[in-house]
Parts: sequence; C-alpha cells; structure tokens
Amino acid sequence: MADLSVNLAGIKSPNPFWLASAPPTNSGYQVQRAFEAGWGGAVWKTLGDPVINVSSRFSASTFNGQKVAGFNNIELITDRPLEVNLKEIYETKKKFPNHAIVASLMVEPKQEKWHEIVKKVEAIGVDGLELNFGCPHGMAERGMGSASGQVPELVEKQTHWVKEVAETPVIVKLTPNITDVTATAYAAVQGGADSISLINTINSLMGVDIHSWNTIPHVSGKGTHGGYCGPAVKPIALNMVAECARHPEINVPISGIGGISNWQDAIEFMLMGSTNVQVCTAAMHHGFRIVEDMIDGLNNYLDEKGLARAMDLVGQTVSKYQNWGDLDLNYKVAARINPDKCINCNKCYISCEDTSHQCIDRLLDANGKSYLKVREDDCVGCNLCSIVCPVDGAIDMIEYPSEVEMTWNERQSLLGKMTIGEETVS
Amino acid sequence: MHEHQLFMEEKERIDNLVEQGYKITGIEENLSGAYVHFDYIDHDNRNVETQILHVLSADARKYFTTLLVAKEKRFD
Ligand SMILES: Cc1cc2nc3c(=O)[nH]c(=O)nc-3n(C[C@H](O)[C@H](O)[C@H](O)COP(=O)(O)O)c2cc1C
Repeated sequence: MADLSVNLAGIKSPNPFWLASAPPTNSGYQVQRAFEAGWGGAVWKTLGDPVINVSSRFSASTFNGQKVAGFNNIELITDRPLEVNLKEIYETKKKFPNHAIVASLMVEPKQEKWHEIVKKVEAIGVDGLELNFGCPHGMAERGMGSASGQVPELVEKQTHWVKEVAETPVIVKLTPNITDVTATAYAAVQGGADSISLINTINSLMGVDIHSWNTIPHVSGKGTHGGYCGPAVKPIALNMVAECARHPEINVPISGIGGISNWQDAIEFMLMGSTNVQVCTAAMHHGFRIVEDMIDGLNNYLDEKGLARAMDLVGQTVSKYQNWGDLDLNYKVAARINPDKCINCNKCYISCEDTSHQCIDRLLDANGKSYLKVREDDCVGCNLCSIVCPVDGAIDMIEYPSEVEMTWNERQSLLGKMTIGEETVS
Repeated sequence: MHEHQLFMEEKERIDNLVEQGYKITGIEENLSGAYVHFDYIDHDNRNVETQILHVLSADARKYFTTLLVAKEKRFD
C-alpha cells in the first residue's frame, strides 16, 4: 500500500481527495459522513454574510444519454450564520483530527472585513483558509467573488490583508472567467498566498426552453447567468492548472479543481502539478462513496508504477507542457485502419473526406468486399478519424519519430539568419 | 493533386540542386510560400549561378529547413 497522504502548503490530509466548497460541504453532518466514506479533506461551503438563495438553482447538460456532462448553478455562498457553521466545523475537526478542514471565505473587499472573518474562523481551529475569489454569479454583482478575482490588484491586496492576520495556510481560489489565469495566480503569490486552487465555475447559461422561451433554469420566468462545472470543464481546468504549474514565478502548491470524476482524472491533475484535488459535481452526481474507488484506483496505480508516495506524482508532466513553438515539426503520426476490427461504418472516411485531408480510400478487395485504407503519406496525423471511430482499436495512430528534431522556434531562428529582405522574388 | 505528390516533386527539385552542389544561401517566406535561393559556388569561391525555387507545400518548406537544421546540428 502506497502512502496516499499529501501535504498542501502545510495542510496535511490522509489522501489527496478533498470535497470542494459547495453543497456537499454545507454542514457538519455532510462533512463527517464524507470523512467516514474516505474523503481526505473538505473545503467548507463558503462562509461570509449569510445569503438568501433562490429556488430552482441547478441545471445540467445531458449529452447523448450521458447525464451531467456539465453542471450549472446559480447558488450563492452559505445561507447559514457564521456561528452555526463554526460550531459544526469545531465538532467535525474534533471527531476527525487528521482530516483537513479548510474554511472557504468571502467578504467585501475591505481590510477590516477580512481581518474579522479570518480571526473568527481561525479561533475555532481550521487547517487552512481558502479565499473564494471565483464565484461568478450573484456575489459578483455585490463586488465579491469573481468580480474581485478578475482584477489582479484586488486579488493581491485582499490576499495581503488576509495574510496580515492569518496563522494557517492561505489558499487563493481563482476564477477561470479571465483570459490569462496566470495574471491573477501571480497576483495571489505576490499577495503572499501559500497555495492557489483552481478552477471555480465558468460563466454559463445552460439553455433556453424553446417551448416556454424561459431560460434554464429560471426563477419565476427570469434567468441569470450561472457557473459551469463537471466533466465538460475538465480540459479547461487542466490547462489552467498546467499554465500556473509551468509559470516560473508561480511557485506555490496547487489544489486542482474542475471536472474531476475518478482516480484517473485526479492523477492527471497531480501529474500536471496539483498537490491534491477537489471534487464537487462528481460527488453531487454519484454520492460520497465514489471516493472508495478513487482511493483504490490511486493506490493500485502507484503500486503498478512502483511509486511509494502519491506526492511522487506531483508535477511529473509539467516539463512536457510547452509552447507550440517548441514542438518538433518533424515528429509524425499517421492513421492505420485495422481491417480485423473495422466495421466499415465509413465515419472515418466521411470525416476525413469532408473536413480533413482526404487521405482515406474506399477500396474493394479481391472478393469484392469493401474496405478502408489510409494513404499514410498524405495523412497529416490530425487524429480526427480515430476520434470519430466508434470501435476501440479499429484505428491506430502509428508514430514516426523524427530523425532530425526541428521546432518552429529553431526553424525561425535559422531562417532569421538567411532572410533575403522584403523584395519580391518571382 | 494529393499533398504528398506535390511534396515529392518539390523535394526532388530541392534534392537535385543539392546533389549538383548548390547551397541554400537565402530564404524569403511570405503569403505565397517560400522562395529559396540556391547558389552554386565554385572552387574559387565565386557565386557562379543562383537558382530560386518557389516552394509551396508545407512538407517541402519543412524539408529544406530540416536540411539546414541537420547541418547546423552536425556542426554544433
Ligand atoms: C451548486 C454549487 C455550489 C458551489 N458553491 C461554491 C461555493 O460556495 N464556494 C466555492 O468556492 N465554490 C463553489 N462551487 C464551485 C466548486 O467548489 C468547484 O470549484 C466547481 O464546481 C468545479 O468543480 P467540479 O467540476 O468538480 O464541480 C460551487 C459549485 C456548485 C456546483
């Protein structure tokens, strides 16, 4: 059994699986049940001035029968008074002293407001604080959440105010609703953050009911933008984590969030630089017990890889994530159709012929039976055929390693030495 | 014409010049592709003849620069 414990900027937990600040961490009852199920940590539902929520809060996209491919909400932070939450945090921590309890906080961007809540929350004993600069709806209209999380100066300033009084590690939770997340991540680091977590939800409108013309969801006929999360956002979240992880001046540990649904997703985030992961939608979809499979899966994976500690995974893929200009132009992959597995559905042929490079031929064999064949020399290795193929293993992408590696940047620097000016040569 | 066929034709033209002793001495890339200047330099170091190839295909534009990069890497 590998050592699954992790240490995020001094916050220790028995495994890397934390529940993200959201409905699953709304109360002591829930967090205690989650810890019993095996979760290593929980970021409590965001504390602040208690809100009043609307009814009809969630919606989800179903894609080809897959329920909850993406999840949308217009819920705000906790609607319970601070003292109620603090009492339950205290009781939970007493019962589970080795599990991580992090308090998520959101107040107006004022120094005294941050000082007040930090002192009150730390007084009851939490393992760390997470500053919610990410919530994209409702709270943002009041100048909090992503409204302040989109402005690097405000991120830095508020982080600094918290650090003035905080005694536990401070995680800054970033909004993805910004062009370059490294700008706010860097601001958090400048403000003294011990860690960053990302992503919070992405601005979204789930849909419009084409019969009633109402938005989905709607509150008595009116709608508002919400926050999107779940499996659909995973690639966006993973890229944002990776961009922070490879940034030379963002050198604090990362807590990865966004669409993580199983142990494989968790490992991907860890390889890309996350010390731990936080989960919300998958737990809301399937319940707390999904963590059992996550723990088993991670443990088996580490054993298979001969790794003694989960922490050994952290950041292993970061150096492989580079600028486009540093990729080898001479490396090639080409599609090869496996006739034993191909069912002749022609999906690959149609996609290649209509929308890619027209390099699949429809041929007849000696018995007049039709088959598909890739002209590998014409194939640019776009992967589209293997992406649309409905049969596993019917299309292999064959690798042709380059003899001479040449990146775009190398090519351009060489060309720079040989450029003939701007005159027209005919 | 399939892209690969165009590449093979352009590659052949490049290879022919290289085999005859021409060297790539200048490159201009613009919206129309690449114009590659090949110079034939004789024993007295005189530029005897210049040929300009207009290279269209992406693979051939990659190819002639790979020749240069390979040469540079050999001398590194
Ligand atoms: C209904 C709902 C409520 C949420 N409330 C909060 C919150 O109070 N504070 C916070 O920081 N994030 C909140 N989030 C965002 C999650 O913590 C998480 O960042 C996001 O859902 C992405 O993770 P996921 O794809 O695993 O759901 C909420 C998400 C959902 C779905």
